[in-house]
Amino acid sequence: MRKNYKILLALLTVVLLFAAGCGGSKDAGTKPEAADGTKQLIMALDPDYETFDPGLAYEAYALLVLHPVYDTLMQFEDNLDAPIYGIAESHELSKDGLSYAFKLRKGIKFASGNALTSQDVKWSVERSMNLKGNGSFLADGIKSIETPDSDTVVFNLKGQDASFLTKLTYNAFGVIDSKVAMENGATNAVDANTADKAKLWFDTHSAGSGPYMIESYTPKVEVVLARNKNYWGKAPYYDKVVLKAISDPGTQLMMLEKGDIDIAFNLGPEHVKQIQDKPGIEIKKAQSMTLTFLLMNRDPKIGGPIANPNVQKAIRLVLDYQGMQTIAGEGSITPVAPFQVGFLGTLPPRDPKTAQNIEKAKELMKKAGYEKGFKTTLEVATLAVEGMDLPTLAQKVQNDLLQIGIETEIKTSDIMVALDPYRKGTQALSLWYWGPDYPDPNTQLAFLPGNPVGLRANWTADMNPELAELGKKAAVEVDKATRVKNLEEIQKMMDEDSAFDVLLQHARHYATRDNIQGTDYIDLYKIDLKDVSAK
Amino acid sequence: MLLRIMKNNLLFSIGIIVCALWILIAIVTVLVPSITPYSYLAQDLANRFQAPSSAHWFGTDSIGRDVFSRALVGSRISLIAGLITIALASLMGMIYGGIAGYIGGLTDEIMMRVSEMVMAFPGIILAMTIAAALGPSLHNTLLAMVIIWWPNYARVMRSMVIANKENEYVEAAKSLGASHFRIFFNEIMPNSLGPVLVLATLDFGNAILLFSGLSFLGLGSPPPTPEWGAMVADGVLNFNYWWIGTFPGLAILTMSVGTNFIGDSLRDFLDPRLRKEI
Repeated sequence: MRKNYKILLALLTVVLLFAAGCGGSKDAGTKPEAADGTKQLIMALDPDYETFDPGLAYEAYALLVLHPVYDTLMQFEDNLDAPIYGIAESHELSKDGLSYAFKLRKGIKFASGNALTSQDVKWSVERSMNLKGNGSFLADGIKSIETPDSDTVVFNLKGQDASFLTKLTYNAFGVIDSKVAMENGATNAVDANTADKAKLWFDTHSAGSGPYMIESYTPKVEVVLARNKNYWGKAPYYDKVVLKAISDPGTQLMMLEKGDIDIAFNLGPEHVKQIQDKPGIEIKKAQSMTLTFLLMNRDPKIGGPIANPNVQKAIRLVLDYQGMQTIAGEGSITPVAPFQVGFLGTLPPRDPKTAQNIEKAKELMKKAGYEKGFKTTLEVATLAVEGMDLPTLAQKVQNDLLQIGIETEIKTSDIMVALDPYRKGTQALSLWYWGPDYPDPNTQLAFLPGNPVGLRANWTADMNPELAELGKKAAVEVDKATRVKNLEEIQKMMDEDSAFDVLLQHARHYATRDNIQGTDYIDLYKIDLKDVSAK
Repeated sequence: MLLRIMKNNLLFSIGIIVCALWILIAIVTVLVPSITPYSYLAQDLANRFQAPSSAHWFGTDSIGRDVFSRALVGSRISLIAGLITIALASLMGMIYGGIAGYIGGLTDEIMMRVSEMVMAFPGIILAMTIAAALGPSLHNTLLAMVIIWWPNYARVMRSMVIANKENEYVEAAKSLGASHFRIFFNEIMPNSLGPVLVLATLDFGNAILLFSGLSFLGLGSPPPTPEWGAMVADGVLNFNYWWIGTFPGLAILTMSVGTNFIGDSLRDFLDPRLRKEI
């Protein structure tokens, strides 16, 4: 009896302690303004970052964290038209277009207190190149880096590159405090991809000169950024920024309504509708640079009837873009070619009301010899693109294709399974999404025949030599007016003949508490965290 | 017999009525597809996310399809999935367990350890792994379900065969010179079937539930097939439109509860020790 009593008491204590523990953890950290008066910004998002090593990170949300931590020579402000100076003060381009000489701003210090010199710039870029990470291709065009003095750095290129200044805005070119980094195992040596041991250190620490430092990182939970007191520019408003990983939009929405977070970043068009009349919340909408497109293979061995250019054109004409825009939500548009509206030289989007022409599509099918239609497979990865379920869109495409007799069977698979056949170019007809590698129309030239994405549809350069040739010219053209002319010509040609049909350029829907400002969307950084402040 | 049981057992009657209704719906929608108010595939983007009304009894989904029509058509897939899984799994399990029990000895040991290996895996995770590895389609999902299900029947069959093979009539058949084949199929098998059949009816509802679970996870037939589980998944994607997921969910509920009622009552009826209340 006595023994039983003791056990009961022990159990009760455990239950009580557990309850107390739960209660305690619930209060901590969820208030926007912490008790001690530090100003804190809390943002909820569905992040994809894998590392915060500036030499390795290349995920869509990497720059959200890394832009306010590592300064770059060039950066974007407000829009993606042209980069402006970051820690560079001025630059000079040699006459042959192969050598960029940057003068650095004077008096910049890293968070550690060390002075930022041109040696740090050279070291950081060389490290990115030698790490051979996902983003290191951005530095592929660099032949050598020179540092004539401590505030001048010269990049010598292998060939002309119209988008070089834009590439410099990426974290692969983020300037690292080389002394601190080397103390923690980093190296810029040629064998850095095996010799460099600093990745894990960079995940939870930082060595930059930006307005914030990485204070802590718990994967799948949160990243905490703290103010860098040595920052050279205008000090940001918030002392701390907490980026919480919350994948479910419904939870983000609920937390925003309760005031637990200041920004709910991954909302779909349908979620925004629920909160449009709620007090205290501001709904934000922006053009995303993400495209959803249809890949139509040009190799008859893989694509069968799909490989016929007339069939591909018929598919382009029979699709109901207006309906697709309804599914993707307000603000989504349909560009004529894989070039996003918002980039230099992009043509105005299709008018969804007039883009569909079923009669002409039927004629083209007849011309191709498939008047009675055919059967094929439509492959799609099971995921959501900017809040839109991709398999749902696939069912819309399937429905539209029936009008010219193309019967499709939808094959869904996990993104990890689907990526392999996509990259190898063995899909006949598939639905994919695309975000630009860097904010310059040149990144979209990948879709041209003979280029990496073009080849995923087995669209080789000899199938449209004129277009391939023009693409090569556009990639190196530096003169703005000629660039625009070339790019426009490319889009017109791709409207006539292309292995890709761009279905949508998505809109981005998110919401903030209405007492904060400076949360405008910019595709590269998502939100420039240093600009956010209370009203 | 059926009527006699029904008269005395309310749950059994409910089960029979619900299941008969679903079977009727499944057959009628196959024979007369136009009986549903809309085609289960017809999209109408102007009327997406419509709440239940007289035009759309169960509302419409994210691309304007009628949820009521889809829920009705979905019955055939769930019924067939349950039926095929149970039929194949019980057949396979009966033969396997029967052989193991009849031969006995080392063969029995090895065969039963193999079946226990399959049982040792958590069922739904094994089914997910198999279905995902083979690629999502109705065939592969059913195959995965049969693979995880048959050991249950093998165990029951084996224990019945072991119990029955010591009976006098088996001895008698042996002494008359009957072949093993004849003894197994003519003497032992018929006397061991009862418990397996009860297990099969009880399992039918579970099979439908597991199938819906797998198609909820995207491992059933590819869209636009109106599988109940996949429709519930669609409802979760559009959570603020409750009708998209609720009605297919109710369909799964009624069908699996209905078959469970039948299975329960049949077990009571066939088990002499529990028969008194019927």
